[in-house]
Amino acid sequence: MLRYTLHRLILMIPLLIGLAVLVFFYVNMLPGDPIAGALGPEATEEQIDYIRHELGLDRPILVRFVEWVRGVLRGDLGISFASRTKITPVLINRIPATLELALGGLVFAVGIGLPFGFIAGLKKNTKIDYLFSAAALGGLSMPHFWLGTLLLVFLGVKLKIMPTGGYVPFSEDPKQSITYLLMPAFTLGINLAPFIARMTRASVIETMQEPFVAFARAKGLREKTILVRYIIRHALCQVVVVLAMYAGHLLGGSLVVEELFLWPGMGRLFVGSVRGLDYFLLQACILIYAVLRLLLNLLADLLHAQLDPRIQLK
Amino acid sequence: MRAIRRLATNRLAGAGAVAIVLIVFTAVFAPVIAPQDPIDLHVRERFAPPFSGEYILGTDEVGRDVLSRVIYGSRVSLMVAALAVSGATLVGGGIGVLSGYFGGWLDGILMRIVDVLFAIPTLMIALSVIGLFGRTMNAIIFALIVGYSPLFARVSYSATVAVREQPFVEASRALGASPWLILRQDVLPNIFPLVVVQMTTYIARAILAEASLGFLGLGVQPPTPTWGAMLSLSREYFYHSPTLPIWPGLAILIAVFSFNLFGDGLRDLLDPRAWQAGE
Amino acid sequence: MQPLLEVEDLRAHFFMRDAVVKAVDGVSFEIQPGEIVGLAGESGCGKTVTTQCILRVLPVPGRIVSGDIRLKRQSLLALSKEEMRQIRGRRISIVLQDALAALNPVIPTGEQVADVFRAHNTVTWKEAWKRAVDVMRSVGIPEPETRAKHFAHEFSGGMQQRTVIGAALACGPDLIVADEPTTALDVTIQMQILNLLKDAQQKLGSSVLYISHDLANIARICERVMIMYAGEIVEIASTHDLYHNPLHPYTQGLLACIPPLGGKPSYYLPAIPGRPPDPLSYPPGCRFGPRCAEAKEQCGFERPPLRSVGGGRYVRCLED
Repeated sequence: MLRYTLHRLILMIPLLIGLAVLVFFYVNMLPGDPIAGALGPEATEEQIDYIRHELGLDRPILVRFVEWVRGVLRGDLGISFASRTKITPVLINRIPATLELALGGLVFAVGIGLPFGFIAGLKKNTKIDYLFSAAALGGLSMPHFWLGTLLLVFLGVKLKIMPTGGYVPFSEDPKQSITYLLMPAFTLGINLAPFIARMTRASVIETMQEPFVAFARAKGLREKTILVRYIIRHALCQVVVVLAMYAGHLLGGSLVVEELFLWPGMGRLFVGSVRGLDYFLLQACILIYAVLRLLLNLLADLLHAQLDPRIQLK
Repeated sequence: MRAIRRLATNRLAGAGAVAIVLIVFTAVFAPVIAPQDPIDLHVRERFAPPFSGEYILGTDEVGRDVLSRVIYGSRVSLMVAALAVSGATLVGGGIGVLSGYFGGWLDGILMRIVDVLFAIPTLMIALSVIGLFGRTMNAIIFALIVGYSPLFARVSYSATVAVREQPFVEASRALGASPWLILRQDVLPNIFPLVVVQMTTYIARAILAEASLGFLGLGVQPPTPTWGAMLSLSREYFYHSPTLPIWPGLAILIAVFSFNLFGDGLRDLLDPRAWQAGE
Repeated sequence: MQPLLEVEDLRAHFFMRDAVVKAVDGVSFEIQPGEIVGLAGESGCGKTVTTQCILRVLPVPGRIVSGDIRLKRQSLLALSKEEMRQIRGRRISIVLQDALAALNPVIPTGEQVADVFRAHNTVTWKEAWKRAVDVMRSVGIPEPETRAKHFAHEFSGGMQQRTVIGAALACGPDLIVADEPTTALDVTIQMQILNLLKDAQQKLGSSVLYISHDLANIARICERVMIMYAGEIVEIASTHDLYHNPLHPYTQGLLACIPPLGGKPSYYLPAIPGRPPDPLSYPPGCRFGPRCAEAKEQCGFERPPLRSVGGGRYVRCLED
């Protein structure tokens, strides 16, 4: 298992290299002058050149790339263009918030999607199945920020049951933290739940058609036993495997949710960097998000290998 | 013709198709359908409640007719979605097919790039493109093309590779057909159904993406009405007009739902129809 | 001595969207306690459906439309779902052709054998496990204590089938229905499996309904043989009688298809001309008629009944 993990990590390296290259050159080679844009139309040539020199942007691009990579490997992601502070500490500060949100979202997504999917699969082609499947399609099609907005305005502003924004780290005050987390996590989770429901349903249906289920029945096992130990266990295996991959999905959705609920996570940082044309911050954020996504995929594969006895590890 | 008849028998796809036609119709004939000019201000009648009088869905914070804005909003959403997905299909699909068929070092490089791109959330890619190119409709379309191409590349790649191994392709090769001919006659028709289903699904996603961008304020800029931007603005003026958030979101829901429904129905149709008997 | 299993004029039809498939159309036979009976026939003749009827696990578009199945004189079709469940695995059990498919890939094999025991007895997990290990030992799985914790795909084909048989034997059933248990295995392993079934007969007193299209294997362990064609039984005889003196033209044709050992190789392997009838439209009259070398005009419109010709032999043919 350990060897497999190491093996996969090593495989990730070329991917990471490619990522770094792609991100850096993409951000830095595009037309347009970020500095001129940031300083505004009143900036003079000298001012622009001065800032450019100060930030080292007038050096050849390969040099900049190497320096950047060196910095990243040291843990230094550069300096934010807008705020002139080091990026790394700010980013790291924000990671827990985003992770909390992602985790909360996952909990909701699984908590809602899994049972619905199971029931829909078990009662295939009945009215309940159609109802649930329609609901899933609706959930898929709905802009989650719409639901979030509606929740925010009705529960938060009008009825004042829920807080409308803000954040308390879990470590500080768990109860308060969860109160603030509920709506954003729910909004994020609703985004993912239909996917999970659909997948679970498909998995259950497929499992039910397997010969070993018919054989279990022929052996005279009780329906309940068949259900729980044979069908659900098998379907669950298939689903859990893909879950971590879908968590990557969540990372994308979190961007909007963080904006909506003023959640101090990486997503808002990123959106801010886009608004402010802060390129260093932009490339740092993209890099970190991508690395997180890759790690999540790796986790998914490891989980798969662990849970499915059929996988032979090299 | 036969395809259309099959469509009619599958009620889901049919319903979705009808809805799509209606939406497209609305978008195309917006100037005719919309009761008011969407950017006309009637400041004195702002925050009018819906179903009350002249303005069927009410007015927004500067007195513009909400219904008209919603109707016009469909234009932006549809245009962006259609162009973005078409572009992504051509670019991504093209890359995937070429890589898949010819293989070799081209395959290696291109697919590696695709893999790397996959690691970045699509919305981030789109946002960064917009950040770098500005907030115009073209930039958004380009952003989404860049964002969705990897997926189309992957789908068409695996489909092409699967087709490539088939005996009838070998037969064509043995008969001396040029690669381009094979691509056109053997590969493309066979991956076509798959790609079409993906396209419908992605149009739905693109509408959502465009709305997300608008919601973040990074989409098409005002005064052009877009659903996402309308939704975002409605938050601020909620106290004055609590129904404002409902309509743009509903519009997005209906549009996306229709495309998804159609896509699902399409997928059912194109899948092996062996599940006919005894279901 | 009362028969163990009686099948009386069983008819099972599949109701498809626009047609009815009469998979089993008037099948009657008996199985005595402690006897091994073979059921042979081509693919699609209705053998498997018959077994599904006996266990009442017929898949959904199918339904038993008429007839009766009795175990020790008690009608199985009249039982409630729960009562039938208790029969399955305990008094009638089944062995399938594809052992790997019959086993759940994510549950250890030992558990799957123990499950049968637990489903029909109130025992603790530990007892059931112990019993499962014993069963696995008795069917010849080496080192059962460790092997039972392994998963199905880690077993060889032969061991997988032994596990399935173990699950079938766990509760000491009266009847074992073996649906082509050896078809997917090597010839040497086939012998071992057949011996296991014979053991079950001798040690447990179980009867075995052995279904196959391999006439050679049937000859090896069965005492009586039934030949099935197009949803009907066309001949029943003791093994000796059947193989030395087949009466029904179909049986004769089947036996003629077996290449003889020794002797001159002939140019063409004999085969029965034609194909089995389409289950959606059986021919009027005798169903084998169109392929029968000895068909008379009558055979085209009169359906022959399964009649006794003495000595426990039955033939479905208008000819004598």
